[in-house]
Amino acid sequence: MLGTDFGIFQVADEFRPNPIAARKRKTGSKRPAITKPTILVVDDEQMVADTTVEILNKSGFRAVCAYDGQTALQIAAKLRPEYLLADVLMPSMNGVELAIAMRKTLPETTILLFSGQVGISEIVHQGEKEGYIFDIVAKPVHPEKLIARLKQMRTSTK
Amino acid sequence: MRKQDKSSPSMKETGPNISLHPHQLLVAIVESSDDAIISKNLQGIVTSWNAAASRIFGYTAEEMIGQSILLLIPEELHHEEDLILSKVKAGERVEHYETTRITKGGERVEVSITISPIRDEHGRIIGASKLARDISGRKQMERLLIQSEKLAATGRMAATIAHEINNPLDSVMNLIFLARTSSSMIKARGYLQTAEKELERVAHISRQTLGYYREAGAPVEVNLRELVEDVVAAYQGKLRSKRISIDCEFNEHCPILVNRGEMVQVLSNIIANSIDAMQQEGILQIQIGKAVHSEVEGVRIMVRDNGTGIRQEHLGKIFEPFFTTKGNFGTGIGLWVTKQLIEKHGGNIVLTSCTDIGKSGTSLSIFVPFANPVAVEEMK
Repeated sequence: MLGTDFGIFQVADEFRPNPIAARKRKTGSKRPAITKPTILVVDDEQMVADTTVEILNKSGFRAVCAYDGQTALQIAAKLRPEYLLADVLMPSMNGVELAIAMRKTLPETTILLFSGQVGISEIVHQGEKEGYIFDIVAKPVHPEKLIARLKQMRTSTK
Repeated sequence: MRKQDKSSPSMKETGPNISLHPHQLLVAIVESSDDAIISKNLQGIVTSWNAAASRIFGYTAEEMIGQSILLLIPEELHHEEDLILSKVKAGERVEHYETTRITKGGERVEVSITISPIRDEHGRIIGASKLARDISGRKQMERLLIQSEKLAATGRMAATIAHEINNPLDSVMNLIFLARTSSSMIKARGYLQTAEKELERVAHISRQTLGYYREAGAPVEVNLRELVEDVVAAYQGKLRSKRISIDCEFNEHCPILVNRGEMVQVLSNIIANSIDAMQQEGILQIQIGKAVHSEVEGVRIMVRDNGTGIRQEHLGKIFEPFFTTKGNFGTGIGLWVTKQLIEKHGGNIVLTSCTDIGKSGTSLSIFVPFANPVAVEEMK
């Protein structure tokens, strides 16, 4: 994929000199460093992909998007994301095919599919025939609900 | 009727306990028929009238025999009788002609009539025998079927376009969330402006495609090009996921006077069929241009796909109700309703198909007159 990734890493609050916060903090307590979970968002509808990524980035995730399955797999190989959020109905590689490929190469990734189409059952059924079952959420979905669902999927597997 | 040979047995065994003279047998058959059997002479005067005729039309045999058959025919259809008599005199049959008649009570009844010439012993035509079947029950079922197909078509389209509506709605949900949680007024405005555009997309699809079933029956001037574009837009999701490319050719501006909702239904049916027939990377061709059919001016719409095609043995039944090649996914009434709707507008529809690998595909050619000739006649 062409382009450059710029990563801006902010120093976490507890390491930044902040007299007010320091007074409030109990002396001697240490908070563990919080790393943001990475999530790869894949949707051929660019507006959906872009807005979802923007919201996730503002909500404690490190989100990256791709507009097709092939690109998504290339990014995933390097990024090794904790989450994959993918649309089902996409040209050339659909969401289920992408998810199956991810399961094979990155089994640790939590996968959530989303779809605006009622009639995706054929595609989902195809995946089931190969022994793969994925969580699916229907569009439109409120971003807060989406985030809650993603977090809940991770905690329930731990 | 030919006279019986007197040397043959005059009583025939027709069953364990029934013995009837052949003439009595024929009378019994006529009287027990469910269909009205009426005979008339060449002046259109009724000469025989069976029990079913009394039941269907309300007149007794005494009331009808000697009367003109025109008593049963609504005034605006009297010309049918002249047509029928001329055919009878020429020795021709009229078969399964669907029309309307009037009962003694003044009610209209839909019937299917078959008329055959009656010949005397010299072979001369002396009258006509008419069989009339009450088809009002069947006609009512057909009307209900068309209505239910309209709803089914709406449902099919709704499922397909759900994708077209749900995606922009998802974006709008995200954009409003971003606007609400943004600390910058300028950014918030930007998000909201984008949200407005996405909503307009949704509104357009919803208006143009989902709302059609509510439409009143009055024909309006419809721009076919816009209509086709709207229907194709509704199927964008499926077209994209199957990577089907579209090739549209619109020759000249072609407005026609039709019921817009019905035209959407027709196009939606045909395009959905084409999409179903194609796997990956098919081509959907749509051509619209002016045409003349049987001296009537109108528009010809041609929809062609290069999908699997329809087998030769199925082609004769493809427009029949409840005939489908799609197993559980087909309702079998899409094409039948399409044909009914087109013919109701005074048009016609022709389907050709090929299943040879490499050349397979189906092509539907629809002719719609600029103005419905039947409607024009009724207005005069």
